[in-house]
Amino acid sequence: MGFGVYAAAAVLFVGALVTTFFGGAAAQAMDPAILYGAGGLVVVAFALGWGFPVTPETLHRSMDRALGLPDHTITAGERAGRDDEWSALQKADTLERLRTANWSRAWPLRRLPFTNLAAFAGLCFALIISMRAAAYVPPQPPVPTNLAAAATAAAFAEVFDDWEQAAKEFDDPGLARFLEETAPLREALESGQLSERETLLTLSKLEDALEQRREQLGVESMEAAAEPMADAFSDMQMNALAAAMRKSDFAAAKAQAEKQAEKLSQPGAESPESAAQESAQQKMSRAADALEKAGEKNAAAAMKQAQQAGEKKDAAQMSQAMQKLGQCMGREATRKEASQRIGSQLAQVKMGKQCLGDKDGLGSALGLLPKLCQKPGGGGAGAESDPNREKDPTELDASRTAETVSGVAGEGDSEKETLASDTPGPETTRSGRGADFSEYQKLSETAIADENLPIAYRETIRKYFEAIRPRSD
Amino acid sequence: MPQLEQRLSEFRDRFQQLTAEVQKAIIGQDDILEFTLMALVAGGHVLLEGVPGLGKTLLVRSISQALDLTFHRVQFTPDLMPADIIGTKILIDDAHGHARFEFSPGPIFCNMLLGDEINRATPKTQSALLEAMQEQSVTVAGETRHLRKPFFVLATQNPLEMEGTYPLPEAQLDRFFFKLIVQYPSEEAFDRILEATTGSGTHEIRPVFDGAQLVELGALAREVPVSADVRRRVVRLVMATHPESPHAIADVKRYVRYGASPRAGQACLLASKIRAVLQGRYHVSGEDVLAIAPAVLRHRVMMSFEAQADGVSADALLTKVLGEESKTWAKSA
Repeated sequence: MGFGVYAAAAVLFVGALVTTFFGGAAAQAMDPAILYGAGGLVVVAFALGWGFPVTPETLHRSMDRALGLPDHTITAGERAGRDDEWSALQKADTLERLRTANWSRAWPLRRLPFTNLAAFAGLCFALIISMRAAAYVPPQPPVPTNLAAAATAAAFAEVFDDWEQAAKEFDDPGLARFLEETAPLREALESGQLSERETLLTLSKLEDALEQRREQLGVESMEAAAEPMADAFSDMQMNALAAAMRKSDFAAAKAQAEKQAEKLSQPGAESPESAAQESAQQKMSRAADALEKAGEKNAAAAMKQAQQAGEKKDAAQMSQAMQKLGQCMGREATRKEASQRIGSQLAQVKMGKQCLGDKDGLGSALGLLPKLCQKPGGGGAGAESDPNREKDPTELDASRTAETVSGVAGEGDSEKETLASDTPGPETTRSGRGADFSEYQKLSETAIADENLPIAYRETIRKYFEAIRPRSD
Repeated sequence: MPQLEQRLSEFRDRFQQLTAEVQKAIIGQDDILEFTLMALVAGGHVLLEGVPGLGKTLLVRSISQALDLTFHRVQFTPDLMPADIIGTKILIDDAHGHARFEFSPGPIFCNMLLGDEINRATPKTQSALLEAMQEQSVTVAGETRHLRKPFFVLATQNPLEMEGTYPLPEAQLDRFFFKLIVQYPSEEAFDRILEATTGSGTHEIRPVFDGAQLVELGALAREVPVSADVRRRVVRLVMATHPESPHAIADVKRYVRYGASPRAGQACLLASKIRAVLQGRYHVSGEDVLAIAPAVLRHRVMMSFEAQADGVSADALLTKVLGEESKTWAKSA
């Protein structure tokens, strides 16, 4: 093997050592055991080559071969001890051949066969190391294999952030407790590691938790007694309070009740005359019963107190009763807000289930839904959100006087117009618009059959039209 | 110039002169001529094998003329008797009328004996040459008579199988220094042969030197040193022709009945020494051994019947053996 091979092997070995100790692509691309193995082979080759004693016989043979003089230079050992003319002639011949030899071919002299083998093996290893280092590509950050899962996780993370912010902003202990209980489920959804099926199951669990929380909120509700209470307040000439009750606007009702309590607590105030009339008494009794039936015992007791106050024409007692009723209405208003928030959460969870797998659809669909902490924007249409989205009709912000129009419900058809609600579910208002719905049915079927629409959107459209389909009941 | 170097220079010059003189009559066949002369310098006998008409007899005759040696030619035939070669005692009458036996020397009493178609004689007749070739003497009626010195036997044989031929026995084959295969001349050589031999001109060969000087050349060649390593190579090479030897290759084990004798080793070394001197070197190299080995070994390696059946010749087998040995020598170097 020529000088160049040994030199190349030495350079590559040193390079491999340097990259091993100082890091770099070569060290990262190659198992250190191979690096050291290659280096070890080269070291062994050099050690054997230069450390192993060379006899004069092998040296001269190496010279013969390296210089292209096979057997033409008799070994010095053969001439050793001979001092004759033959020896002199051979020596002179050898010197002449050495003088005219091409010495660039002579280095390194032949060593043991294993030396060359070890050096060659080390050179091969060093070449392999260099090639792998040159072709080494640093590991790239892991690319999410399931882009949909990553996008879904991001969408849910945004939603859950909104929930947590709402828990703080609205001081809703129920929501805070719900968030604490469902933290593992939410973390799993935010991780993006779940499969589509697992995501669906997790969302279903979340939905069940929300449903359960809403049921608990609805256990005790004044909602069912709102109408009887409105009738009673109406007979008592507390029309604003009655109007608020009729709209189930318990926050406004609370304000009116407190207003009445304040009014009746003034010195010289008198209990409304109408409260003593039999009609009002009966209606107050019915309202108390309704409240009692709804589980609102405190409100029922307050209503009975108001009834008694009205009968006795005791303004102070009436004021207390109104005060208590106001408190109950305040609690109801808070409960209703919480229920509304649950409704929004349910809508978000259900939208997530519908748009599962559609990474783009989920984010945009969830973005369309109002957030729990959504704040009104400035100057843009649709920036405001109506906290009374669920079930409550839109209230016009205008001064008006509520008037009660009494009449007798006839046997004829009635028509009630309901604005479209984006909350699908059993709370969807039913209407008798069968004739009008048929006009949209064809359009809906066309929309559903449109292949250009993402499947998630088509599912939403289908469910929407199913929800507003007139039902015969 | 040192005396030795001068002597070696003279050796090369005389050899060259001898070669050039013989080449006046022999056109082409340079290798055959060189090897034949090498064998003569070494004091050995040569077996020439070739088809008729290639100049084998002319070669021997020309060499004998160039060396000023007495030359006898014997045409071996199946009815040739040993006494026809070595001589016999004949009954003659003296001047007094008494009958007495007197030895009549045969044609073997010469310096150079050409035995044409030696394989046509009976084994009994062939064996008459055994003592002469080895001992350079003949024994007739219990009386040993020495032959002239130098004494060479140059025998020829026809490679074509013919009826009535008797292959030389191994003992006699072993006594031939070289066996040379005379090839058909090349086109160029053929052309020159025709030009030289069909004209009116004649080529007279003059003596270059005599037999005594030839013997001196041989003595000088024996002085050429051989390294122990080269000697060991020769031993290994000869041993490699023996099927039972660990150095033997698979083909040798399969196709060789028995290998070369120690005489082959002697012939290898002697011929290598002469070649080294002719090449201008002062020692024998492995190249010399490889160059002369085929001529030394081809008639000493006895092939088996399987080799004859498979058509494997001694030359083909020796080519493989020499190839393996040269690789081994290169590795050990």
